Amino acid sequence: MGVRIGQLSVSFGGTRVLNEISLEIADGEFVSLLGASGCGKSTLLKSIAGLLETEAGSVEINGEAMDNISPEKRGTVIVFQDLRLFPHMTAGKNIAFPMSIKKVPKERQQENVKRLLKQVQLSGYENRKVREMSGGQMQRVALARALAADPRLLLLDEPFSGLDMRLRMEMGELVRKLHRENGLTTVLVTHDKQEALKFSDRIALMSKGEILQYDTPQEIFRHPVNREVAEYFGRMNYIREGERKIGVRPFDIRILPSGNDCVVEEVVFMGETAEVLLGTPQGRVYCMMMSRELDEMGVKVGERVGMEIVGRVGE
Amino acid sequence: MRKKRVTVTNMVLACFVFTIILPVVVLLLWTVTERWAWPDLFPQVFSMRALAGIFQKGGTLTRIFLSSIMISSVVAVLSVVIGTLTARALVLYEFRGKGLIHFLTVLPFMVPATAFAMGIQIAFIKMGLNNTVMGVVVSHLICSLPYAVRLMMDGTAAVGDRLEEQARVLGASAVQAFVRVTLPVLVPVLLSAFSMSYIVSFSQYFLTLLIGGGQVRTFTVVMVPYLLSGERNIACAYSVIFLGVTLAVFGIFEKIADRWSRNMDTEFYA
Repeated sequence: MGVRIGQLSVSFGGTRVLNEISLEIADGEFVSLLGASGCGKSTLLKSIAGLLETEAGSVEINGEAMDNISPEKRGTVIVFQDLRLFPHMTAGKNIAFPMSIKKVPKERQQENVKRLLKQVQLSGYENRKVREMSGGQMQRVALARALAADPRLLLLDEPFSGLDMRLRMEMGELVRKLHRENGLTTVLVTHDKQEALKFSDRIALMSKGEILQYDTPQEIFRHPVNREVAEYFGRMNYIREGERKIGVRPFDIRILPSGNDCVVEEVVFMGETAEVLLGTPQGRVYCMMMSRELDEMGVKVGERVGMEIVGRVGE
Repeated sequence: MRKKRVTVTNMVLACFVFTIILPVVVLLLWTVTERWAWPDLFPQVFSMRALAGIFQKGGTLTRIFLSSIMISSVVAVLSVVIGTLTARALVLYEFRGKGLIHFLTVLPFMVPATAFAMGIQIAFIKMGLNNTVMGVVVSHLICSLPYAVRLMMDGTAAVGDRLEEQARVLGASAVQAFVRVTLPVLVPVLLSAFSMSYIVSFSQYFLTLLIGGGQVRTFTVVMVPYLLSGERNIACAYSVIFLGVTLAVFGIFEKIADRWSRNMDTEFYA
């Protein structure tokens, strides 16, 4: 059943933040809401959880209309960007909070806290104070606390944005694992396209309070509905081919050392990959390739090369 | 540069000693002094008469003390409750006339008690509250509430509704979220508001005398006539007791607040 959002609109002080959003999330699905800051992703999340008053439209969870259902009765748990751990409680008490609200017996609470801490790889942290934990540890406690509430729908509002790259990926993988192991339906709000592509079953790309495209990672990357969607996932080249202009991603341009109709204008080393700027009769074209491949080719700035298009966006 | 800074610090400390410590020492000396005439630097005759006199009235004094403590405690509790709710409304909600209500909460700061005391007395006589403990409590509330509201507003703004939102989505009702999350986090500010309101009420003289009409006797009502009559040693003995009570109240609540907030990372007044 999952979640069904129909024509949902939200305004703040006369400004439309969400404009007739419709979205369906299947049971057990992992969906990412992707978009730049201020596009309405967090507002959509809070509206689903019942923390905001909506102007029009509907939210249904498991076929049940949520119109007049208060946040605590919706079964939707948010892990916020700022984590919001309760500062007067230990890690264990934080995790036990949703269970103590439900009046779960103390022994069961303790067992569950132990199990959840193990699941987020923080065994033995029950009595740790909030201020004594690192950012990554706090993220894990926040996740464990959300799971302790036994959510029908887990909503993650950019919870990893404060972490460094390595920890971000680690936490992303942990979330994906918890999602699978606990049979959750998860919505992740993010502005990181890699994160969305890597972890999601489907991605909803948002801009200015609207959903531009809602599709699987492969579809949204290979068959974007318009330029805005295509460009969100990386730089695009627009090349005239006969009568029409086609969109080509930099990785779909291949350099031919034997040709001579283009000039290598710039080479940027980026670690595993390298970016080459080609001057062509149609203008500048960006080409991306593995840096080792480029080294083997031995292409230098100023040399003349050829160019082949191996893939087109939308094909 | 560093040396200059130390000199400035020492000068500030010297000013502090002269303006606060010295008067307190003089106060303490006067409690055991019988005669200290100008131009002598030290008292000429020492005596325990003032202290003995106060302790002889042991029973009456204890009664007055208890009634003062009770009145001030009730005022402090009411101030904290009303202050917390008012601050919550002013910080977290939008409503018509919010600016006006905010202004009204700080109005008693600006108008001296002597100016509005007459109006209150007339109103209380009509309402039958004059010469009653209830009347005194309500009049003290008018003076202590602005402090409680201001303190609670800063605390509420620092905590916000973030933690309550989190508690709600974790299954807590609005009341549970407030009681189990916001209230414990606000404890240090609640204690500050309590001790401030307590002291404001404890030091009210004019309002207590006017509204209480001499029927409601608090510590200040007994103390002030001595200050005015020139019996310096007795007045100073009362003042020392007053000072002790004030410091004890602040000290105890400061200690509790400190212990409570040791584990938290909420920054108030950041």
